[in-house]
Amino acid sequence: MSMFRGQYDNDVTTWSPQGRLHQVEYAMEAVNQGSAVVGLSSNTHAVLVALKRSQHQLSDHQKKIYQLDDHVGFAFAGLTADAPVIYNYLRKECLDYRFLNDNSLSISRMVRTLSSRAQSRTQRYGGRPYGVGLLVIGSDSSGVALFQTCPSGIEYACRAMAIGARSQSARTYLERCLKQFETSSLQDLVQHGLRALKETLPSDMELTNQNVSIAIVGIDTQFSLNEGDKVDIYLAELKAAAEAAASDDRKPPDSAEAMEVEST
Amino acid sequence: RRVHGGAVVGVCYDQGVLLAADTVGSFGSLAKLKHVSRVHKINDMVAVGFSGDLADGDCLLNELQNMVIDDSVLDDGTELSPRAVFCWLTRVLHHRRNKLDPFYNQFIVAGFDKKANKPFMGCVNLLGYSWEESIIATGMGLHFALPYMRSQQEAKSGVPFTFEEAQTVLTKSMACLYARDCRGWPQYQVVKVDGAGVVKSDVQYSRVAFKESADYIEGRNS
Repeated sequence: MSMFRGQYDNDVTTWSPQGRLHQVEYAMEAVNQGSAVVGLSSNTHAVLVALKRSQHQLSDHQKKIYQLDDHVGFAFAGLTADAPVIYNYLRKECLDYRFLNDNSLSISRMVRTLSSRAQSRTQRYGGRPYGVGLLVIGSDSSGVALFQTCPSGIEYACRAMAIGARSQSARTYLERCLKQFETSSLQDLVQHGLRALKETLPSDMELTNQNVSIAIVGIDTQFSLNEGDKVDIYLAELKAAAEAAASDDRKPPDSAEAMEVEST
Repeated sequence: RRVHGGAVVGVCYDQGVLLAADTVGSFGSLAKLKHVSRVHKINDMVAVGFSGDLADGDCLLNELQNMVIDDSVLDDGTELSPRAVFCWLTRVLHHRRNKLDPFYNQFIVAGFDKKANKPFMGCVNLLGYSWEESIIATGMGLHFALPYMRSQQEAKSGVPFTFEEAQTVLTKSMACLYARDCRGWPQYQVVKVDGAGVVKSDVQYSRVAFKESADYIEGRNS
């Protein structure tokens, strides 16, 4: 990633001879610099678990999860200043839709309008792409949804995903346990999210009620954001499970089955 | 003076909704256009009918049809629900009323609410005032059709009409409108909305018997 790309990376409207837009790729790299965010969904619920950073001891931990409407919210990773811009735009989209149509905006529609905007910023001279990636969770008439968006304008519908610093470790955990999520209970889903997030921590850091945010939405459950005292109950369960299983806690139950290659 | 349409009549029954409107576009007292369609299918869940200024009505109808096309282009399974169409029309009509430049119409939105599994019918007028009801009539229908529809509904004591009963109420309302409204017209179209979709009928004819004055009448309709 530290390769010098020379004269093809000065603005977003310049292609490289290899057919790449380096500015867009650099913007995706900005997402990797933000603190980790994990999202996962079952048939009935979707959950976001985010790690909040604080600049130093004197400042609050930076807000990572925003609620957009009764039925939808997102967590972001990347350039902190870009998040409120996207938040304000999506909030207005949700509200306008509700005002005009007496109904909640469907998640796929909302994500598509954002991706459209993000893409146009990769094709316009004089500006730059968004410096944030989002994990959006929501519930609409077609059920619960988890979407990932990128500065490139691509949107991904996911069962589970992690973005941000050291998120590969979280993604590895999520891949191992993927088969369990569909039918997980809400409690188990949150615990999976916390365990995935834990994988991204540096060795000297712990999950506390100051640096963890948990958001939940479901088919019959409105979006709710849990911070501070409200996450104690989830962290307590995480700690109890870790103590109970001791050194075996880190090995997920059906890792062997998940790695099997099916043969016909 | 502009080309305008007469009454639209709507009746809810247990499984769906029936909407009817005659096919004349009047220019004052002149029956200028004789094959105007004032009830329309929007999508598989919703139909609308409008009375009043035909240009304004067609303009809003065109907007609605474009919204349906947008939905099919996006192709993500989301469709305009009856309530969404109802809300949208209310907001647009009210907005124009606020600018003192109204769309001079009364709209009836008829649909089947798939989520609640119930028929839906609402009316919005040029002021942007809206209401939901199981029997609605606009224009002259307010005076000629609605009292009759109300008496039929009250006779049912809270039980919804059956499809046949709703058809009878509708047919008689349209016949009454032809007989009593000076700008009335014997040809009309009916749209049926239920769980299976929206079906628009061919042009139907009101049969009116002028029993008292039959002896004095000569001409095509006697």
